[in-house]
Amino acid sequence: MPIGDWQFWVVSLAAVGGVLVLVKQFKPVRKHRKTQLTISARERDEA
Amino acid sequence: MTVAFIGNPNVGKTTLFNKFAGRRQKTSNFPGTTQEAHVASLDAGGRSLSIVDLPGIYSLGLDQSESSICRGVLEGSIAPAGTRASPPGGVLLVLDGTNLLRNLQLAGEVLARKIPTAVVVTMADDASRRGIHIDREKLASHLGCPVVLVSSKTGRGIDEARGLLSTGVITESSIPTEQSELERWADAVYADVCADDAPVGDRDRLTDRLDRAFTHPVLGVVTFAAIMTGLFWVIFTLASVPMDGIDWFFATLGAVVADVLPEGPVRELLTDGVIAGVGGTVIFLPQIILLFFLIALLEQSGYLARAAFVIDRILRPFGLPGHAFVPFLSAHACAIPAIMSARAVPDRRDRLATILVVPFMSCSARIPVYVLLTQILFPGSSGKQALAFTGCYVLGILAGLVSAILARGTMLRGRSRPMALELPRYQLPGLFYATKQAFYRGWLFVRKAGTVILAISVVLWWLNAYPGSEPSPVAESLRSEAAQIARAEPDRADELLLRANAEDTKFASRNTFLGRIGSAIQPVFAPIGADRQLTVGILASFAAREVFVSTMAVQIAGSEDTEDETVFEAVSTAERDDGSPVFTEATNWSMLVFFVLAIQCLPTLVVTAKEAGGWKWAGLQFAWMTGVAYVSSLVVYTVVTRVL
Repeated sequence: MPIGDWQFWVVSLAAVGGVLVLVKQFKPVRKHRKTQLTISARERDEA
Repeated sequence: MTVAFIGNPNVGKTTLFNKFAGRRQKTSNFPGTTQEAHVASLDAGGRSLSIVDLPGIYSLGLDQSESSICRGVLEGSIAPAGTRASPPGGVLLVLDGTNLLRNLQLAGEVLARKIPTAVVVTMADDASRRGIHIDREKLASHLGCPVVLVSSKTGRGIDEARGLLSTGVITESSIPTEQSELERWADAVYADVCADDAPVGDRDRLTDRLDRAFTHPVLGVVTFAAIMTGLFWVIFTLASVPMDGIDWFFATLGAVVADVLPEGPVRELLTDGVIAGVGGTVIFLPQIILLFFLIALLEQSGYLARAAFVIDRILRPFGLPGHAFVPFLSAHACAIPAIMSARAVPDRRDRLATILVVPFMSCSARIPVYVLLTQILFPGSSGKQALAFTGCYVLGILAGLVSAILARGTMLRGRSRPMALELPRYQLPGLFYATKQAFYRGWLFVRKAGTVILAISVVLWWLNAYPGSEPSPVAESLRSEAAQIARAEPDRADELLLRANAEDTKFASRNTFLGRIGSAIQPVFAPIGADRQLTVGILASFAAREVFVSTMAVQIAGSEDTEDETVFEAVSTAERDDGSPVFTEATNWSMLVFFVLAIQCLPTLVVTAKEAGGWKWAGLQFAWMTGVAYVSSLVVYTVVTRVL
């Protein structure tokens, strides 16, 4: 690994950014319909 | 105060909603597009209102998700995300003036709930042209609430309707709740308020004739096949020009960046990772934009709903509804917008089955892989190449249909909802709307796929560039030979230097992280004929399948330019580490089948998880498609190896 080369660190940083973007894609997804219409009878009772 | 928009499918609720709110929600001539509740805020008559556009329904009492949403909103048990659930302050009942009789039944059901209501009758001008004259005063008197006739095309009545939003009243009319009595009530109201005095006009006769032809069991299928053939011919012919332009743009950009930046990893990342990666994806954009432009034209013309009926007969034995045909069609450009368009499939089980099998269709990203493998299989025979190409498309469709039968017969078991779709009027499609839709879809593709593919390209480039290695001994000897003959034979020396560079790249690729991973995982793919280099190609293509071609080129030829004949030759005649050819006939067929059937697209899995409602569906899709691809490739590899 050319750790003395500043360019190596720039491209490695970019790769880490790429990994983060990919990891972000795997975040738990919210259910499509439930996000649109929240079942909130309990919420109403509490209110 | 919240006002909910309720009405039958395809009566113009979303168009009205957009006109009031100044927002461009998706409107459609394909009934049932509004699957979610759209919300907007506006001022009407000095009051601050929140308006909610609900899915189109035929009755509040049906056992369907759309009806259940509308019932919940009217009862105040559910509300759009971010707002507190409570019964709406008012309802705007949207009725279709050209089909008032059927619309009145839903109107009766809503009015019987005693919520402040105002009524808007849309398509009033169309109704008049057809000889249906609606008496607004009488209708208001029967319904017991204010009524406005509007025409979205001319804008007539829109301002008045906007003023009605906050002035709905609870009806004092007595409206029956029992179904047969409600039908009689609707009949009586219709007879009193509508003077339907015109004979069936030429236009209606033409509509009937066209409907009979387009939905005919034989003629309808023939027409559908002809229209689809024309559609794909137009896409592949017209898209080639902008695709060449995009290819040229990214090649020039790469060359400019290579000229401007000094040699080093940053320049290589930008040219080989970022520009090559993004360019490889964006090149399919013209096909996607054209496909959605043409789909929007067909949708607006009213043909798409007829086609859905024709296809329903064909798809039903496979457990899929006619609605699934739009996703199936779109998937031949890209699975991502195709999965998103599966929202229009009303039944949940049908929708899930559609989402799960749609990636089997051959998308644009598979084309470069098909081109490479069919060219290697049948060099110089364009006829056989075309046949193999078509075979790939047919295999994908068959695998999708068989998988749908299995899915509907096991985990998605249950009766399908019968196809109920209102046939919209035929009309001249609007170019502005179609263009807008096409570019919107194109933008979604660029945004959703572009970010992920960019990230993958950067990560793959890094894994393929490090940890690096000393120059290859073969390359060293080529270089010293070149130095000796540099003066006497400069051309030959240049050639040797090029070969030395290619040798270095090949040597280095074996020692990179990606090369080492390939060597470690190769035993898994050995039964389907893959060596270390093909294994790396397959692994890299799980992120995005088009990456396969450039990864193979980088490893084998030391160059990404597969257009270059010598590089293509190098790929097709490449050798394994033991000296045997990489692409034997059996390996080639096996890889072709694998790439037709495997999912190999991370963004598709992400969209599946989002649209189906969980990663378990994306996991299932990945496992099933990869399993089918592996087993099929194994069978093909074994059979071809034994036969040849």
